[in-house]
Amino acid sequence: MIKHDPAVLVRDLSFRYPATLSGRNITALRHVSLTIRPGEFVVITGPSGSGKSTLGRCLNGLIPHATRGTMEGEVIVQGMNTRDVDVPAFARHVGIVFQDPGYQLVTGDVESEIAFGLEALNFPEAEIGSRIDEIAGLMHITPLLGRPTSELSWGERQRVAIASVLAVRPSVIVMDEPFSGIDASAVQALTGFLLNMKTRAGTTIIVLEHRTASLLPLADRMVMMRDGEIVSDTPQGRCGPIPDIPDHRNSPDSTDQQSGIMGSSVAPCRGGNAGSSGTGRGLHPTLSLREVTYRYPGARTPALISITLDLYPGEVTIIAGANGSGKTTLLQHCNGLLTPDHGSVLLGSEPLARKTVAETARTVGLLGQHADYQIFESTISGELAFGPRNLGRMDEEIEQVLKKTRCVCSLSHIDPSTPPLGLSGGEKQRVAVAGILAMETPVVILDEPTFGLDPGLKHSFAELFRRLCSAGKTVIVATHDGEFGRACGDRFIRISAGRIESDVREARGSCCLPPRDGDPFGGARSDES
Amino acid sequence: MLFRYHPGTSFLHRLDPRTKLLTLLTVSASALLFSSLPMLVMIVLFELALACMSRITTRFLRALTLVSPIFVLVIVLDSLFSKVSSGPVWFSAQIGFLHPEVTTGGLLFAVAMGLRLLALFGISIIFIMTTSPDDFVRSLRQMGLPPILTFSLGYALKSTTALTGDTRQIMDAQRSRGLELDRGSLIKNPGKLAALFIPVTVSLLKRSGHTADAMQARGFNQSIAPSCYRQQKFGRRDVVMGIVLLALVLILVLIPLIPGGY
Repeated sequence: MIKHDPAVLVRDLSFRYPATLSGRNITALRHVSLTIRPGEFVVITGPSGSGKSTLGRCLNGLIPHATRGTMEGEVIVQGMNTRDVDVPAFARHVGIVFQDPGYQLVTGDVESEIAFGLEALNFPEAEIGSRIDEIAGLMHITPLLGRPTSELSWGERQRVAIASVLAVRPSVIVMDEPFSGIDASAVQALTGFLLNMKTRAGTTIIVLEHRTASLLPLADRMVMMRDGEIVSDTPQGRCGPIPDIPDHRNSPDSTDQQSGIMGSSVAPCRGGNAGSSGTGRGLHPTLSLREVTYRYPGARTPALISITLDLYPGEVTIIAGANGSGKTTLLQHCNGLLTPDHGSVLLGSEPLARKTVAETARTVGLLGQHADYQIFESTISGELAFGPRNLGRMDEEIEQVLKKTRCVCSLSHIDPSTPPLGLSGGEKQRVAVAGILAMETPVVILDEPTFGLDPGLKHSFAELFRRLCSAGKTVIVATHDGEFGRACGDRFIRISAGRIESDVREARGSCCLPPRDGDPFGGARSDES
Repeated sequence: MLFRYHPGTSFLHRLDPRTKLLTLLTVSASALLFSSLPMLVMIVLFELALACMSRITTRFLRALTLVSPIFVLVIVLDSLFSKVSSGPVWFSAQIGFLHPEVTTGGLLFAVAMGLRLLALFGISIIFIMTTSPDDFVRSLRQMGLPPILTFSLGYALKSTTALTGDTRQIMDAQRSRGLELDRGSLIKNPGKLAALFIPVTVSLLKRSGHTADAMQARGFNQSIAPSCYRQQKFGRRDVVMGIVLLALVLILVLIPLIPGGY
């Protein structure tokens, strides 16, 4: 491998996307200059929409060759100017792992997926075989090798996508949020592997990520971006705790308005009853699962095995577990999207089996993974009103609810007649959450709601969930993000291979987030404690 | 889904996809070239034997039952408007310019046509059910077809499942927001259709854009002749199958030569 020094040279790079549906002309990068030396491990961080992903796309020629927009300045990677060399020619030198693993898997099964890049670069068959075995072992995906890619869970796909890029052993690796949606043990395996590549092969590693905690000890440098500009560039050793990046789009809405929203009666939070089994709490569960067993058609082992669970109002229940452990399957039983093979789901005392999903939507609002899928209306207000309208609410009533919901979801600064499809990822996610909250259901279930959100937005979601719980709602959140879970959860359920592994309640002094040392969000909650 | 690959370890499953392709072509050609009833019966029986060997008999028969209305239609129409008419006339009429007539010869011809269709359809099902699309695409690549063509075919085969997945996810999301899809008609309410159609289109466009980027980033089309992992190899099974096919064709050719035969 010929060493080029610097490995990556970005000189006065600016990029502007063409106007979106929402009529916004987004300048994603402004005069960015960056030099990365071979073998460096650089973490590029910054809030959602700060231009991290755009910068990533500039490093292998996707910008300017495959993305519409205007690019100024120049990017030289491994001695090649991205203006002169087309994307496929970069493949041997630059490996890029995109944010969404679902979109980058191009073949039918895991083994051919990993082989794809190696075949394209004309590696001999025997070499391909040994590389597949090696990388599969390192990424803990050997058992997945024969499986069709369509059957994999999100996290499994993520690992396959990473493995298929690493198998080529490029000299520069760019990873766009590789940790979103993968569990802690996989994060650990991946960071270890990256470090190994860096020290052994001298690979230059560039990671674009919000979740920097596990990366900080390994990184040589941390570059922070905001609004398309590099705001800080800190070498290792001086990388302290992640500084707070207050999100300017996320101006705190007036709290008096917010507290009035989620119902006037602020029910006491029962988080203090740590360790109580729940039965002697004098409260009736809003949602109960009884001996629920479910096996996907064609699957060998059941996804859920005899799950019995009571979920109570005024409590935020966090469901955690490794990739493919059955979290989503469990949530999908809660509003009837899936019907158990054995056992039953009770809504209060009524069995769920007799109702259609749409009928259950009056009581249970469920937001699936990657919710920007479901957005389709031509305006934000139309999108938010979709749920309440389906439930047959009156127009005036909807109007009021929308106003409140937009406010709690930090959307009030965006014109409600903006087309939601042109919004940024974080904004779309908030529109989707608002769309569920607008239905005002007593039970709110969210599957990975913080996917791809920066710490600022995550924090505002954590606060929002606390408020919902104070208003006596049953809030159930499936998440990999332990930090986020701890910030808003009362009860922590861990699922492993379709069974409940642990179920604990943690003491919460008051209804708000516990102040932690060095917590960048500590100050924001003073109004509640 | 019935009409897809069902993994297995049977003789047919383990054959090289190229041999299976040869089987598909040979049997289809025989069904088209030979038109007498006993020969077509033989071909159909041969297929049934293949299905039994591959342990897909139930699925095979279910697939045939699913499309049986077409066979019935073909047999009925062919027996009414047969090109061949010989033997006793069972039915005859004049409706406008149409002149339906049922004769013994015509009936036999119609049944043969039905069997021919059954044979063509049957062997295709066996091929689909026992051949992994990925292996098939690999063997096409080995046969020297341009990568852009083989990749497109492979991706098309894969994307049906991806699309079904996307659509299901969107339907689930909208049902969770109170959109009633389990009851009532979808066509009557255009709003319902928009709530599904727009997100499906958006995700489809997104998927195609992202996939193209990912392929380029991984060097697709960078080499004119990319290498192929898991090259399919001919084995003893493939020789056996070749002999069986040869025997089938020989028997079909020789039957008319037997004195007293057809």
